[in-house]
Amino acid sequence: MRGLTLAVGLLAVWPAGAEILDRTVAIVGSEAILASEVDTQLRLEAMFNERNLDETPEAREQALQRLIDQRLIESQIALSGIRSENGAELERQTEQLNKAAFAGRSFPEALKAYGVTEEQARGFLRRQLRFAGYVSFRYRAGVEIADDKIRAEYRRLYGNDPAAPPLEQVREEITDALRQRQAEADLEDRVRQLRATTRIVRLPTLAEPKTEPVEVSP
Amino acid sequence: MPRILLILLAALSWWAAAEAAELEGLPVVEVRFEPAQQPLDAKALDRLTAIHTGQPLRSADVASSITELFDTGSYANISVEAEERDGGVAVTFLTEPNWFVGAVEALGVEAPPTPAQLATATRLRLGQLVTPEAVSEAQRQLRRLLADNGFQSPGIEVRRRERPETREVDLIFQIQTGDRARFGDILMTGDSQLTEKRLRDIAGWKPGRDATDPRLEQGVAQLREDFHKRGYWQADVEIMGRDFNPDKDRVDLVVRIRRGPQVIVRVEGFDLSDKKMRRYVPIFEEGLVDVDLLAEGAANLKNFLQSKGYFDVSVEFERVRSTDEVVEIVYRIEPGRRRKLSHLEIRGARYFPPDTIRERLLLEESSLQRRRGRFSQSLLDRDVESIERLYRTNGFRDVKVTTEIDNNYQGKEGRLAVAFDIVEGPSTVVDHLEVKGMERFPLSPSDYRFASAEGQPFSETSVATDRDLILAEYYDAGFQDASFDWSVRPTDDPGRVVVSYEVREGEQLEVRDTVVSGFDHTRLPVIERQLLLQPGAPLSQTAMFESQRRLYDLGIFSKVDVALQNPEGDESAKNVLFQLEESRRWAIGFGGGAEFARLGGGRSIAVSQPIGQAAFSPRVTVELTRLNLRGKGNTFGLRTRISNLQQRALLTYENPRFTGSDNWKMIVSGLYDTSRNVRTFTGARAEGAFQLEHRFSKFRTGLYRYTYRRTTINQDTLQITPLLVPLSSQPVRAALFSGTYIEDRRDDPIDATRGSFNTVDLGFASGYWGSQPDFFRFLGQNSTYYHLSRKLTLARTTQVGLLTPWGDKGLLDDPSAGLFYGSSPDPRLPLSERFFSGGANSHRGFPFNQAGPRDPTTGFPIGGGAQFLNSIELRFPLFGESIGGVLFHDAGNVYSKPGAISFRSTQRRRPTEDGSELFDYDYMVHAVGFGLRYRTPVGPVRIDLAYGINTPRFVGYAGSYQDLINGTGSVRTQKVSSFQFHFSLGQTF
Repeated sequence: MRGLTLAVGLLAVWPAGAEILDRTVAIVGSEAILASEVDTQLRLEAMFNERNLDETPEAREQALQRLIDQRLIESQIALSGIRSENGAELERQTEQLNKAAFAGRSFPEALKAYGVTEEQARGFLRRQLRFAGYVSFRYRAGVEIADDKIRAEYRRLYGNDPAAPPLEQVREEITDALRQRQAEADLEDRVRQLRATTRIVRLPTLAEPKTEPVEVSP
Repeated sequence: MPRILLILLAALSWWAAAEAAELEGLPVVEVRFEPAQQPLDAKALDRLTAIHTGQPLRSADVASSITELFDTGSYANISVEAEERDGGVAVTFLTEPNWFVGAVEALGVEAPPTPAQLATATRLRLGQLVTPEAVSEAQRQLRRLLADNGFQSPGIEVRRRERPETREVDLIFQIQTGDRARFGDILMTGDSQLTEKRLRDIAGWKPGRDATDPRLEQGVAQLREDFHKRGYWQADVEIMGRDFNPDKDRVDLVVRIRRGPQVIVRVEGFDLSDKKMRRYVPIFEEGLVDVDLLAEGAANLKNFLQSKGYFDVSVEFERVRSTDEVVEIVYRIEPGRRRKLSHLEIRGARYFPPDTIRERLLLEESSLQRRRGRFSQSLLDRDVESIERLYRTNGFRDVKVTTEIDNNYQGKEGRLAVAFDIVEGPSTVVDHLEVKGMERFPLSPSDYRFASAEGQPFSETSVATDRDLILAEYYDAGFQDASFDWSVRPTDDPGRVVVSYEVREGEQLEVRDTVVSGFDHTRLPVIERQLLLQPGAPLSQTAMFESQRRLYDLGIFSKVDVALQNPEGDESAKNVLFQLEESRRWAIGFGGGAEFARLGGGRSIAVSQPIGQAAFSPRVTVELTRLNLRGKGNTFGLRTRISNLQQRALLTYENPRFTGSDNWKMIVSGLYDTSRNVRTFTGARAEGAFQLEHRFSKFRTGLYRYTYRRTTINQDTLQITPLLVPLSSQPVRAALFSGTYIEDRRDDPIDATRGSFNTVDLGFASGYWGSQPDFFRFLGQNSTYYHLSRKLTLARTTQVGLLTPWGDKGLLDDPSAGLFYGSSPDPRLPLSERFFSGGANSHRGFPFNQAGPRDPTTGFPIGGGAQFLNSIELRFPLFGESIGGVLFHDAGNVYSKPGAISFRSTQRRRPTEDGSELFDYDYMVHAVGFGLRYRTPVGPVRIDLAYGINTPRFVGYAGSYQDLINGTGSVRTQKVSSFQFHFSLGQTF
């Protein structure tokens, strides 16, 4: 009851007729993340992962955290000077967009259903490719996988299955998968380090009663 | 938060988003910002936001506007709201500004640490963004520094003093320190073989003493020093831990000492002092014995001995003993025969004269100053590199320099000759210069003389010079991120290349405003006149730092910090911050010293000693200064000096920027002085002066003065003919208007080697402005300095002084008429206004103020109406860089009248009826001499020994002054001693 009263009270004091169009929701280093960016991220992730749009506060929070990670990685890409975009691959994947199906919908239909623009979709794709390129160059390239790990993974995948292909046949595939896994783990470690050393601040809505900025990390 | 509330808030957000979607595309009827006072001006806000009245509202524009505004760094939070109105939509930007660091103060701590150390420890820089993390980190660093200084549990409270108009916030850290922890127990580890008591005694870490960082560091240094004295050169002392015991307010230390072995280094084969050995063998300084350092020591010793003439020296080292307790190293030196570098030749130099190359060489032929010359293999190698570098920087990229050494020059054993053979090779010349990228700020070759211009020799040094010039111009024009690249490519002509410069200009920054803070007493116009930055102008680094320098030059600020506000932000208009710290306005200084001089005037010295006698007098000085009077940068000072020989008080009021101009300075002074500089009399002088100093240019200055002084002479102290006493003892009131022109083009005012120094001083004393004697005074000096070679300087000066009285006051009854041989000083000139000369800073052939006419009976100097001095000095180094020598010749004198100036070098004399003689003093006295100079940071300390070739004879009196009055004494001829010894500070001229 008390909560309902509070919510009604909020409605009452909410500036009549004034809508929040957009606002800063977080700071990563010296860059801001906007509410509209969180919203777009949520929609694009749902579209490219072919799942229903979930706009709950929990989902928004997770989208925001992923955006924060993306900003941290982008800052590393900029510092490294690596040109991680593969122009030809981007071109190919962009062409594929028009032919792709998104949970049974065509690309234009999916754009409309998820409430995003073609430019936003292409931008999302470009970013994903850039991150993949960076991870591959920065983290995958130097990863050595020991033979015992390959064998252990083989055993995990195929156990004692008599129909399992011989190890040498699948060695490269297993090695590649392990390398990718290791690279992602290294990336996650790096992102954790960056989170610990970068200024990341959650910002309150200015229309609400003033509170101190909430810090996510030291 | 209750779940129902979360749902409702989420619903609110959704509802708001749904409502916002309906506003998309509606025309914007109004754009507002809240609060009204924004960090950016209206023009910048309009430029950065993509939302304008009359245009349709787009969500993409809203997002880009927020991003652009945020990227300026001026905002901490931004929210955009909209509501339907008048058929369109009214948009409001709700903003929260960022704050930037202004002053940082830490209060409540008794040093150490000092307030400045505490402020530095916070790592908060002027103009940086204030964030909660930065403030927390500042507190953490303060705690660390305080803990290092014995304050283990301080309370730190942070107060903010905000200045919304400039978005600055002063952060004040109020600290409650509690008691400082003291030294507690000490746990020693390692092999020091010291008792705890002994360690405490050496380090000074006695129980009960405050445990501060400086004390700990000093203790560690003292322990190391103690081990070094006992030969343990590898001793290591480290504080491994500090444990604070809050119950007892004590800090217990864990100290690890590794004594290491005793290190003994012996030198065989050459007598080398311990001090030199420690200087050249680096194991002592490094505290480590390893092969590399020992080899370096051998190389250093070899170079040292070669520089002493042992050109064939060999130095080997051996570790003869190495245990845990002792390491013994022996350096075996075979010096070989001592030789000298007799001849140095440069061959093959066409582009440069050989002398130009020779000036750059470290090798030296033997000379008077360096009997063996200077030679070693490393010096030879460095000279080869130096010559090659000289050629390469002038376009001779393929230059080759080889050397030829003759060990028996001219067939004489022990004589070395070195020849440098230079093969210059072809020179590379710039065919033409291409410059790209200068778009907004082009530097025209007609305005800037690039070193790599067409036809000039090509070298990387020239490119570096051009780079520095170009970037300096860009930085000054506000292009703080400008960068420079260059490349070179050959042409068809093998001796010519094309040089290309590419400039990336970056963004141009401009000054939004200058913000000055930290001053309480100083008036703002005084500060603003020193600032060279104008709002709207390009942000010039030179102007920033020049403004800082000008503020320091006011002499009223102990600290002037300058920085950009929000340096990381994207906005191109920046506030330039000046944070000032005013000096303490009152300053009191005490000093002591002693004078030792051949002085002593007045009746304390017998009338039979006109040259005076050596006197020693302790001296006390007191100075009181009040800075920044009335907040205008003016200064009031009182200086007093008291000794047996002098009592002086000087009051000054100084306005360093008269009428607000940097080129005008005003000084008003009052002086009371009873110096006994002249042995002939003791008097008191009270003087007031008003002076304007006008700086025409860097080299030229004008002084305009009105001086009023009253001199009273104690009649009982006059050591002159009784006949002259009544006239000479009258108090004299002199008032002068005078002007001085100074032109100083010396390279170094304290110890010049080049340039010139000229002054002309004209003064008029007249009854019209309060003077009793009427006279005209001229003083001129012309000094020039010639750098004859790297080590020789020739300095000369000519000084002329003329005093010409007018009017007939005193002329008609001149009591001195007939008393002098030749001309006598004009009686219209009072004693106190005449020229007196002689001594360390004028004619060194005379004792202090002993030149010129003398009383015909007592022989005491009575000054003259003219003076002339010509001095020549040859200055040269003697031992190393600090001790130099001087050969000098001084010629001149003080003359009775301007018309009596003479270059005659013989003194005339005439016998008198009573059997004595009369001497004339109007002739030129010559003195030659030798001096030593010891260079100090405040100028050279000087000892001069002069021999006067024709110092004057004079008639002196044997007896007391009473005998003189009664006529019962006797006269005797005396002579100014030919040998004079002078001790002083600074060059003579």
